[in-house]
Amino acid sequence: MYIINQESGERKAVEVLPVSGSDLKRVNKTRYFFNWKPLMESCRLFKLVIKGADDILGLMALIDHPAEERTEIKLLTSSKENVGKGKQYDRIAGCLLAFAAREALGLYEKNPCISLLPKTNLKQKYIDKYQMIDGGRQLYLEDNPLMDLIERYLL
Amino acid sequence: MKKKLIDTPLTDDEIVDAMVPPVALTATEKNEADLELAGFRKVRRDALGKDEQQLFQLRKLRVQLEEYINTDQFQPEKNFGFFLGQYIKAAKRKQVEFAKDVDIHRTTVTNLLKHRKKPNDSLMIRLEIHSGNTIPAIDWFKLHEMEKGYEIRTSKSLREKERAFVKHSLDVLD
Repeated sequence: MYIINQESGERKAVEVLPVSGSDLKRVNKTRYFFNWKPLMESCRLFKLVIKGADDILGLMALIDHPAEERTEIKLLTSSKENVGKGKQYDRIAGCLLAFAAREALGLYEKNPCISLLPKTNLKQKYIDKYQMIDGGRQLYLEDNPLMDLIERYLL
Repeated sequence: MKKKLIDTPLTDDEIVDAMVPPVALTATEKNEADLELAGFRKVRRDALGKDEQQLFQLRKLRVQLEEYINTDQFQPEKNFGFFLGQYIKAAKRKQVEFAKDVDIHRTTVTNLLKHRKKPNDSLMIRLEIHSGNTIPAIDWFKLHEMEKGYEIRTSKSLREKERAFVKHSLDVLD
């Protein structure tokens, strides 16, 4: 799994790890856009870091729905310097989404699935960028399209 | 078009490229959205052909195999035979059928599965072709290489056996 430095084109190996209590002390709205602390109770939180480094470049909150064999991406963001035109690294969100897909694959034997609830105006954009499938109000990935995402970002 | 998101002006593309922002739904609305999603998924599952299901199983196995290889930590129970067994299962073949498919004797399949025989290059290439190139031969080779490395590093019996053929070993201090 790697991200790409937009300026140099250099690939950096990254890993996604659980967020600890001490990590949360460093997570603020200025750099990570949203209030993450309340999600610690209801979600599994993960951070994306360059291998061997400490700086958090992306965050994601997951909710598992075992009865539906589904993992929901409740919230996800790249850090502020990795958003928009002048972003430093590319592929952070894709790597996090693919990690969620891999989690679902490990958790659910038969029909693993990931889903997200998009803002209405962004729905088609997620379909275009990540080949997500229209599930009505929500978007999802399962079976071979889920594997496409994993292979694109994790292998 | 620029949109205001937490004091940061971003286009829709830039948002989708970097985040999944929260959407506020009531509990009832969320339940309805979940039920709706379950309905869409059921329709899709029911329409999924056997070939697509099989491809999904093979791709899952490839991910498991490549992640395992990348750990570079060989576990004796996860040897070539183990993954070959998983492959035969994912390919929905009986051992006899698989043996015929790749033109090897059924006893050879049994011996490979029970770790009594090692794979050769031909078998690894045949496995790649059999999987429709879903699982590359290099993955099987790396798995075999991992196993070989483990044996070389840890085998006491091999060391005892080969000691008899070595004379005048160097007396080197650690």
